[in-house]
Amino acid sequence: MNATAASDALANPRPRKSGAGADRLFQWITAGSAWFVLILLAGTAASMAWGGRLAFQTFGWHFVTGRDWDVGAGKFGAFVPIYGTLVTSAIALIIAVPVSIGIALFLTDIAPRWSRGPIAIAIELLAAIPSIIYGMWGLFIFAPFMATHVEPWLTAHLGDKPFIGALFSGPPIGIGMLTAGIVLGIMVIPFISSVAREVFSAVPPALRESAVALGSTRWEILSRVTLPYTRSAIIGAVFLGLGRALGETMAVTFVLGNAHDLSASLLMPSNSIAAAIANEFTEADTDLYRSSLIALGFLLFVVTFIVLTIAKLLLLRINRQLGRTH
Amino acid sequence: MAIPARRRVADVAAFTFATAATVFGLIWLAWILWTTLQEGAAALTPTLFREMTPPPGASGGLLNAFYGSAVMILLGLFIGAPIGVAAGTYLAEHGRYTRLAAVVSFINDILLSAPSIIIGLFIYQLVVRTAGHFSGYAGALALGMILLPIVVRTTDEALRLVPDQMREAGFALGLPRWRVTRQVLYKAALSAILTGILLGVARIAGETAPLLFTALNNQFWSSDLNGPLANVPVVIFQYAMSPYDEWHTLAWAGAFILTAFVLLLNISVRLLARRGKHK
Amino acid sequence: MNETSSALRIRPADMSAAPASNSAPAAIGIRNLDFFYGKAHALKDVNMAVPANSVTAIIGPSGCGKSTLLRTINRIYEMYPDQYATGEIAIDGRNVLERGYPLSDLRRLVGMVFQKPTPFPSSIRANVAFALNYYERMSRSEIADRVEDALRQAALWDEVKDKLNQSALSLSGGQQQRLCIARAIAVRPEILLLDEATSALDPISTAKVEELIHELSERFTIVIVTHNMQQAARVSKRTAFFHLGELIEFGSTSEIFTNPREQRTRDYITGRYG
Repeated sequence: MNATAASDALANPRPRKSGAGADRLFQWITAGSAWFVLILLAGTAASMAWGGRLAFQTFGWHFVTGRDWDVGAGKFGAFVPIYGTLVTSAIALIIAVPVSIGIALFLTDIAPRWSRGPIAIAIELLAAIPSIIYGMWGLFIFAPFMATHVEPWLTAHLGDKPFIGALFSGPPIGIGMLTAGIVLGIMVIPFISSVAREVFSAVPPALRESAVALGSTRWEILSRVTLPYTRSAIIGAVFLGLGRALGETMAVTFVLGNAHDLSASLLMPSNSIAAAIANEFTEADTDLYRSSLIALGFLLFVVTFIVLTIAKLLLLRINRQLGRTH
Repeated sequence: MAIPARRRVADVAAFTFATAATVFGLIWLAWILWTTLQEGAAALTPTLFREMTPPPGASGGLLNAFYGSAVMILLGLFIGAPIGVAAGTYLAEHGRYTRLAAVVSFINDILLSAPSIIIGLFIYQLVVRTAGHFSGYAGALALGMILLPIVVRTTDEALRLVPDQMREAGFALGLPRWRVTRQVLYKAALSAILTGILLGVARIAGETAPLLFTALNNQFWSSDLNGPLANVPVVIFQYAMSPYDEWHTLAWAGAFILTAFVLLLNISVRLLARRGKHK
Repeated sequence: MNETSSALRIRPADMSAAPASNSAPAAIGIRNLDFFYGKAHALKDVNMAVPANSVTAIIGPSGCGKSTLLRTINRIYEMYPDQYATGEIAIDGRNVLERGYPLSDLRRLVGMVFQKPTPFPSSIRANVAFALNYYERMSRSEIADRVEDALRQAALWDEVKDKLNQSALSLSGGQQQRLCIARAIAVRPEILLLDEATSALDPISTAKVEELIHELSERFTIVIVTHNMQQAARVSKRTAFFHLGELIEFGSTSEIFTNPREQRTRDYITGRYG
């Protein structure tokens, strides 16, 4: 909606004498609350930069590249947590993106109309389940399942192949990057699929009818019309999912293993930034230890901020394309 | 002449994949819920609600955790919801076409999706460090700050759904802006705003990480918000990660109750929202 | 004349179906067609013979069923669950509404252009060539030839020949609509359905498209739906007037607009109702 004279009047109605004071107070309260949101973000960023300064000062750039995490010697490097975060998030997206688009196609095109509402709610419940529940289920049920049924199969069949063999070697403990990546993937599905569903339904019917009139099959409509039309939004949704995956704490903490070793194999335990902080913060007894954990938090903040900004920009673009106001 | 085979195969493959993907998603949901139900229901006893969290090897309940969680959620609600509604009002009303509102809306959405552990660290630095100890107040504050962006977003959207004619009608009657907002807009958007707040409560009820750095946990009964306070998520975390079986059982019981609470809240809010839409 | 025909209870459709009035055989033979949106009876026992290689216009007040009729001919309504049709629509001697009739044949025989231009989010070339691979295997050069051919027929070639790889969305509204026409005729259909195809265009683009329709009518059977009576008068050889789902009158355009037989037709033509 563009600002016109009428909306200017709406935005700034001339206050009556009796309400003028109250109006100004109300204006201050609402504007102040809006500023509060900005202050919250700025404060978070600043306090973590401040808390991590000891670590950054001590280690400099080596904090990001350092592989050691030696509590006793007081040497802390973020490389392993960063690596674990990236690998588990990548696995999560590899699983979640195709599944989410499949679910969106199912819900907009294939499912009988009466079932679409309930199934959509069910998928969204995946997002409502607290992540600590994912963690418990992962630790007690899913990880043993992986250890008994899936990982031995993987090591047997893929462990000695060139290149990818290194990814699937090692004892089948269950806890590890693959398990964590899968759990993370499931958690991210509802976020990507709900955006995908929304934009798929928003494709103008005339566009779909044109494709049908030319003789296209359902798959041809999806791949040649719908996906190109919603491209920005889908990518935005993927970034949104990535942002969630990067910062997910409790589920990963339970099933990743809190091991500060770097390993090529996906079956081995590792660490993520959020999991390291959650696991070790209460035990951090030295200033440097604590500061290193907070510095990890700062890194996570910066990365997720960038990823979510990209996501938001892409999603704003499709909103404008579809004619929404914001 | 029917559709050539290659095109039909691709179409069937896509159809099959989409159906399989949906089944895939639903299987995980069923598995997780079934497990939680199975393990948790087995652990449900009345002692859960009568006794405190026990030391290893002893039996006990979760009463202090329930109390602590309830208190912190409510307090967090009273901190975060009013600021959230006010900020959302600014975005939708006073500041609708301003640069500030656009920036705040953008930043707010980022906060919405940002990892909650970061808010926890922030409150740790701000409150726990300065006070020198963990506290329920810090925990409540952290939960409130996680609730805040959710309420901002839902209030903004709820108010924007109210048609402009209502605002115009109010102003035409000579009402000052604050009256129009309070008596006309909030009334019209009330159910949507409440829905948003309740969904936010469902979200913060399950938050663990921020509480780890603020309220931590307390093995004993405590109603002192100025010290570490027991709460359900952190108890689940500590007990599940421990090697003790009785603690595992308690953790499942807590997980079951937490999940039931969150899901019931979610489903009932959604059902109410749908019913309201059909009116 | 009007009183005579009502007194004799002669149905206008019967008169128009008489071969004496047209020399060409009917390209579309519509018989006892009924259409339903759920419980709503939108087309009532329509009988109409659309002549080949000419332009037939369908006019009438909004809600009279003219778009519905068009969408029945190519069965595009089947995308929506509670819409269905009964009766017969004969094209090339076969009833296309029959269960066993392959939709892909229908899609090849009948092309459709909609009210708002619907360019796909790809290049101009990709748009025109969109359906070419659906019906026959074509080599690269054959595709290129067809694309050029279609764009020439749509009077768009000169404007886009140097930018075939650019996005179709970069074209103006009128150009986009001509692109949609090119896309529809690239597969060499027999019949072209234009559903209010110029309603969203400015007057100059409208004039261009109308000229196009006239040229195309030598090679295609064209049925246009329009709420613009002057357009129907300019462009079509025969005109059908619909009201509340019934075909009221179907005759040569000049007759319909200068000397209609039915009172309802006359009322609509003279602007008694919109």
